[in-house]
Amino acid sequence: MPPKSDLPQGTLDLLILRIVALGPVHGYAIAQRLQQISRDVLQVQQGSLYPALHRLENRGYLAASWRPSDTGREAKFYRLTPKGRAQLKEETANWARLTEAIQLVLRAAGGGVL
Amino acid sequence: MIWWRRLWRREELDRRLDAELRDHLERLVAAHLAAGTPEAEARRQAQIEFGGLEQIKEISRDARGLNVVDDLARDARYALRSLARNPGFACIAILTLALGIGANTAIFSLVDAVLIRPLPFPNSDRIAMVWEEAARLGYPKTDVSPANYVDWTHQSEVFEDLAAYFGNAFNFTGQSRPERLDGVQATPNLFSVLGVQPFLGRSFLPSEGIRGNSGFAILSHALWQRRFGSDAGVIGRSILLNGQPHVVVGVMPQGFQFPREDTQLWTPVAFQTDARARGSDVHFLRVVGRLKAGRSWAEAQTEFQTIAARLAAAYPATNGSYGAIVVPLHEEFVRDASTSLWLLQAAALLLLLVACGNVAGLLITRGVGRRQEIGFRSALGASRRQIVRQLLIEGLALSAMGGIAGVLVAAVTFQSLDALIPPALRGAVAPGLDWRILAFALTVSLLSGVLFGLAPLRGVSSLELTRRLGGRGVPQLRDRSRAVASTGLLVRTIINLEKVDPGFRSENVLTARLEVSSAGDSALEDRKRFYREVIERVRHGVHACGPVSRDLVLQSPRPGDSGGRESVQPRLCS
Repeated sequence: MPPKSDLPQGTLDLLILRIVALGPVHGYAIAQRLQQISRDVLQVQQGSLYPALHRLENRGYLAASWRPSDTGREAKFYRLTPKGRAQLKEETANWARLTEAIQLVLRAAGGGVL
Repeated sequence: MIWWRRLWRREELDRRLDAELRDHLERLVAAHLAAGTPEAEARRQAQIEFGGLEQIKEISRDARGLNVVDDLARDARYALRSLARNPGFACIAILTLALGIGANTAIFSLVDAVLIRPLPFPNSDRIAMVWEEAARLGYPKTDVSPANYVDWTHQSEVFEDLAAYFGNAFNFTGQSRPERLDGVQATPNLFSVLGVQPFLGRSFLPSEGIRGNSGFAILSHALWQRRFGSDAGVIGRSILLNGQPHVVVGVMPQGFQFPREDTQLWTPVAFQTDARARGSDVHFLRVVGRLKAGRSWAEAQTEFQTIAARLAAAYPATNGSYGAIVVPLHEEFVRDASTSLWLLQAAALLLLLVACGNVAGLLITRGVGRRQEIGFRSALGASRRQIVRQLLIEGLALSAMGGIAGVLVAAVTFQSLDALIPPALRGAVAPGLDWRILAFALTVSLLSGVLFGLAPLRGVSSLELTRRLGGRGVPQLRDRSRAVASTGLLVRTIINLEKVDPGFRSENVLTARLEVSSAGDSALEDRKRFYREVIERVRHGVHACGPVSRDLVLQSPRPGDSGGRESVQPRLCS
């Protein structure tokens, strides 16, 4: 099994927003999809997932409703709000800027004086 | 108010959170079952993968802010326990705060009652006094002459109505005990201008007050209770005032007073213009008027300046130097008190700042000893926000208790505040505890609590810093000394304002006023004899108590009064 990576909190929020943007989904499905799409690299613990979900709902980025699910029971489905959509866009841009900057530094440290 | 709803529906939300997490768990179990694991094993594996249910619930609850109330309650309990452990410190702090908050509350209730609340007349903001102005003669504001009053009523259209009155003293006789009553003679429309009607009987009719038809009286509520036993049958009864019969036509409601607290009765009077009378006119009337709806004070002032100018042009000999000014009634009543009261309030606020500073200092000193405790809490996972919240709650607990004690202190002082009420309002206005004052006390307490609640945190970090820099960390004594000095100066100013040197020694001097009414033409000699007898008896009576009095001064009443009173030469009798 590939080693699990720890996700910093801000990044987890970003990923959750991205998954939910694909369509209304409940907590279990979010964890599943994260794992699937990242090819088992990203496995988020429930202890991190649910606090994050509730925090995002608190801030108004996600809206939730209870609907019947595939198991017959009712489940809590999350969907993205317009505010959440804007936040997703902004955080994605930030993330891209950050990774690009890190890449530049890593590549630069390869050659040079040091 | 989403957070409010959330606290309310807490139970339900909790249940839903539980359901949500259990649903996830069940799905995990289902996934394991689908992979072929037996039920018990599937459940066990799922449980391990899932983690601690209660723990997750707790963290999620926190993320939703549902724990706020619980946390606050816990912090409050902790704060109270902490204070109970240091009763000495707590007592000093609470006492200091009680004095500061109490002083502010008491003075604010006074400021509120006198300056902020409207006068006890309906629509009192439409009532004003109109004065004559003769700045060139040295009288910026002076009483009105009857001729001018009559002209004003004819010419003014900005006022609904204008009434005139002047103070008079009445000898109330014919009953068991003669008494000298302070009263007022007024035009019959006075009460309609003020907007208050007698609660018993009626107000004056327009025809009453004209010479020959002025034998009527309206009593104050206090007089009616005191001398007439609250008897409703007093209406229609005739009483002797200054030897003349007056029919009682009405009694004013309780709480009404105009123009002063000691005005006990009103009798009607009327004025007519008379070209000859104008020449020998005396300025002794006070004029009060009710502004028409929709008119402003500026309009009134302009109109009266125009009227006065017109009169000055028409009668240059009498009115040449006279103008007119309109003063809204509220301004009139409180004019002198306003400055002192606001100064007093400022002083009280400064005092409170000093008190807060002292308590903050105490807390800081205590804070030094608590660095260990704070360190522990940090290590155990308390975020800086939680620690700050804890300190804030301690500060608020102190200030809340100080505030309650302060309100009690204020309640005790209301008696003595009476002396600071301007005379026109005394009796009508009573500073007391109502919700506005309590709200004020609450606000002041809260602000103080926040102010010095955060002090330990600042104190601790700044102490750390100065230790590292090798200096001495001392709370800002310089600022506090300045505050104390300012308070002292303010209080001195107020005391000096109240104390005006009358130019003579007033200790142990008694005054009395008496008057023999000139009903009928009782001989001058009779009256002189009466006065002499009074003087003798007083002197004997006084000497009988011991050598307390040296001199008796007899002085005639002020000149210009109507009625046939002789003037008695001022004499020193020793």
